[in-house]
Amino acid sequence: MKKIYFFFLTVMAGAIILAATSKSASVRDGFVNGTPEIKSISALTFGTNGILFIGDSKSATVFAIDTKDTEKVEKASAVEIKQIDQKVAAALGTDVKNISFLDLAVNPLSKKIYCAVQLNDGTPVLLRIEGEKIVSVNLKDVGYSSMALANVPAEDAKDQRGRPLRVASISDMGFSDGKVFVSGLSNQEFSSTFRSISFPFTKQQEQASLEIYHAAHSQYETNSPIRTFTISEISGKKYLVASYTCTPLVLFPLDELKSGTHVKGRTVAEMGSGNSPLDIITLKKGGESFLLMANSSRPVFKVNYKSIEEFQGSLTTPVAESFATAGVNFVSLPVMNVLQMDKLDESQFILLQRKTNGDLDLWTAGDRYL
Amino acid sequence: MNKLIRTVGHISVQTFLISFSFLFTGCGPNNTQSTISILWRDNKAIGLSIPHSLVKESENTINKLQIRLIKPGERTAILGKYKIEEEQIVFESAVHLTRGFQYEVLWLDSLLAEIEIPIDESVIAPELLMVYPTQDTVPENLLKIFLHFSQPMVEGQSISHITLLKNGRDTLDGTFLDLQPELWNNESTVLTLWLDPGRIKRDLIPNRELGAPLIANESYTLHISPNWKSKEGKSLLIPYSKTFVTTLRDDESPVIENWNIVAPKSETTEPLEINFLEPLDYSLLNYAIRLADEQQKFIGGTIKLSLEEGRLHFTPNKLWKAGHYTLIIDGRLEDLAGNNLNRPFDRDLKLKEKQNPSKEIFESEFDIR
Repeated sequence: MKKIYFFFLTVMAGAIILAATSKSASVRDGFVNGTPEIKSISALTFGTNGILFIGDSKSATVFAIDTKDTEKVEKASAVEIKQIDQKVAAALGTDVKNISFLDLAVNPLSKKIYCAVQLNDGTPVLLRIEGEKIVSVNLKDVGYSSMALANVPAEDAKDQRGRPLRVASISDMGFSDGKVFVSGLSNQEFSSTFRSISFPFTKQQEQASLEIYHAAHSQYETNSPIRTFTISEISGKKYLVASYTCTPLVLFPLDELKSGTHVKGRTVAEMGSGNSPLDIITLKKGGESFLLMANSSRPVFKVNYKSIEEFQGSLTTPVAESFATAGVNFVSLPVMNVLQMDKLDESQFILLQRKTNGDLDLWTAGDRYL
Repeated sequence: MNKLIRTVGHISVQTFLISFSFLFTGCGPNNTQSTISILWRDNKAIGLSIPHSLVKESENTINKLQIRLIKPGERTAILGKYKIEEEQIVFESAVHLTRGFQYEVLWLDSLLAEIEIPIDESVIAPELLMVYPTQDTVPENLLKIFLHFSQPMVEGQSISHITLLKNGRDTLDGTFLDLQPELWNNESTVLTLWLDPGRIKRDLIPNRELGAPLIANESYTLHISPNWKSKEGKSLLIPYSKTFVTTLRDDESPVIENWNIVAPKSETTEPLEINFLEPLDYSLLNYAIRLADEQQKFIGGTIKLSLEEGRLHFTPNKLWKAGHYTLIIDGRLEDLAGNNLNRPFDRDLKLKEKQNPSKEIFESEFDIR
């Protein structure tokens, strides 16, 4: 009996190990060891299992990097680094005027902060913040896979005119349910490209054409480009919540964004002029969800998802003009000049903020702001 | 100053030693290199080579070495990798060392050397070659301006180097969209600037609050600061400015039926000429129009724009053959106000019944005799 019991245990243990191995193998499917040719870092986002996605506009490619940073941390410790630009510049052996911060991303597993910085000559570098320490992330001889963005029409291959390739700058990236989402800005036409790419990468990527219906005015529609976005659940359904260069907050049902489809999003809020949205995140407090949006020339906005849900119902018909100017209610937080923002854990977020004294500080905001 | 240049593999080694103290002189058994050298790759200082003779060998050699930027205030070790090789310890910095900056090499707390990364004297100043649109009359809802530089420029700083002046007096704020990352071509020589679309679009809140960025029948001057630097660190040779006047809003899509095509003669390489009757978007013109022969094969050639982007000349690589040709035009081709072939920049839904379905490509046919 003991033998049978032992055999059963062995089989079970084997099955568990096998399951664990195959699970980890599937996430890294198609990965090779080597040095990815990253020419620029436009956007960072994390997937599962410590996989970091790097959006490279210059090579029109998304790289998936195995950071091996997989130690799980439930509650993140607050991070605060004053004058982070000075510290990063010193760590890179250069002057603060010679660097710019490109993006921040938090590994949802380890809660470690990854930060992309660029020298004035365009050299990108990836850093990790560990407490007060700044370390460089090795991108040589790492496990990685990559996916070229299909933004060049196929017939270009036949064209011998040597035309310059169209540039589709990656404006933001996100990861949800095994898919990498990439929004793009074109240097040429005023248009919106939004791609959904299955991960592990296959040859397939879906590109939907998006259009905004300015419900608030019931009149105009445009192809304005997405600046930043998040994937959120609203009334039990997943939505792309996109913020635009011209009119900030627009909703698209995620299941409608399929290749070749033309989807009309609905504007739920316009949040001011002369402004470009920078980052959107979703946080929770006491069973409620909040959307936070950092802006180039406005404070950080906070929107309760409840009010988006409520507004959603009324958008099927054009709204009254008096209501239209308000859209969804939002609160301006007393936090200005935020350059980058990301979710640290469910109730904390990190901000890269230019203070009034000129310092660039990285700090953690808690649920007091929610 | 000692100067030594030699090549190790693909990396060239150059020694620039300002001062150093031989704390451990003579410790190394084979003292072939006695000074700290700069390692170069692609004209960039990628690290330093430190001869064993300068450091006392121990188990933790690497942990005792530190390279720091010489600057006022606190100095910290530069990020990078150390590798112990036969003759030297190689330090490869996380990013290349900056030209014109000085660095110190420390062994524990003692200074081994101070090294300056020399400025590249061969680097020339960049120039602004062209501002598009080239014409000096634009619609008040102009959407894009392109700046074409002679060299790759520092990205991410355009807003601080560009000023728009109205009637030579008032500086306008918030005219251009502050986009990060900015929209540069891959070579970082052409920047696309967008006039704030939220202010151009009718009835959006930015448009209602602030009005359009430009108003008809006014004069505007675009100033480019000479402080804008190339990626090589050189500032623009001279300040640059361009004045233009505005006309009424353009809400009409370009109509290809109105274009005037002047066909060349067969058995020549004379350019095909297409007159648009209005200036179109410089950047899109460079890729949106192609030419196919009767067998639907694309014709190779070069294009040139003239008449302030109002005319395109296509010169074939081979002699024209007599026959029927088709111009294949991308539906995304825009005029200066962002109205493309399919639709105006913003479309009034009330007029929807008048709109045709969007087409990816438009065609126009002609014969060469």
